Amino acid sequence: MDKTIRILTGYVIGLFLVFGFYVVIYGHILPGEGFDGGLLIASAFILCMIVYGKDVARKRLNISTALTVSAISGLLLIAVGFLGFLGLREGHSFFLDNFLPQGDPHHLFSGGIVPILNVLLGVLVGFGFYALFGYLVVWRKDADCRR
Amino acid sequence: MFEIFLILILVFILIMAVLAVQTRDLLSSVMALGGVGFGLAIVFMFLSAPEVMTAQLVLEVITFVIMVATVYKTSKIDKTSKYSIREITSAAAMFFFGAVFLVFAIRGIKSLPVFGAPVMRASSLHIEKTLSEIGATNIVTAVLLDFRAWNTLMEAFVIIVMIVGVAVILRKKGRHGTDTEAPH
Repeated sequence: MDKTIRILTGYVIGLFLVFGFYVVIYGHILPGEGFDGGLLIASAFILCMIVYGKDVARKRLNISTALTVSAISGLLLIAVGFLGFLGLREGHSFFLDNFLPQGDPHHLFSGGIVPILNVLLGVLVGFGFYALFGYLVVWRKDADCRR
Repeated sequence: MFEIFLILILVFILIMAVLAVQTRDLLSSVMALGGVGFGLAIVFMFLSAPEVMTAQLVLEVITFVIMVATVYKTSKIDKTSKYSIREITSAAAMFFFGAVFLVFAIRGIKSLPVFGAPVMRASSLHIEKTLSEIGATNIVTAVLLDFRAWNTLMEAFVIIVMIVGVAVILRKKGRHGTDTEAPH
């Protein structure tokens, strides 16, 4: 792309990533949650891929690695859900039980299980949508004709 | 003034939706779809729902980019055939079921509460118990990830299945293997 866009993207992309992770981590206190923050992270990666080309972006973060990270965070989501069966809170043992202590409201470590699920959901969505866009960009229509 | 602006944006959304269906050029169709999404984001913003607005806005940008990439990779023009005489039956069926739906929708809308005056008791329970039982300040996040966590889990599964499906369809390795096994 243009040199102007390249230089401006270099300044903006870090802010994009930081804002995405901020929205994910503070999702239980401020507006926005894991899904929105994850999409912001994905948009930062996609911006990198559009501006600097697919080879540079794939060197920074491999597409299949991104898909693996996304799937692993999905599995961890189920694992945290199954931890609810242990009955760490009296009288409550069911799937996706909020077993951690509440903490002080309006602070970062509050809400029990909610921030953990937030971060997992954000990583799943962010890396997953980057992998989706990457697979679409890398694919060529005439690839299977030429073997 | 406020409602007139809202109605203008809704009319804009309707025009964009019709345009997205009717245009032959797929890139213009994708752009019209983006108009629908951004108009919806403005509507959410004016109805004071910032949480849904951010989700709609960011998701619209991502889907726009992904759909433009898809259009550039596949075909740029909608190649379906023009209208023929057989379309009459489907058009008649559409109008019939549309009329039936409209009758029931008017009956349903009459029984709804006035705009801006909710009477749902489940949401009031959520508002009461969010701070005392969960400790999260953002009620929407508390509903999504604690009261209705099953729902969010299934949403995450839908996303994972979609991405893995795209990865399987567009993969490189398996195709070469099947080509060498069965030459034709």
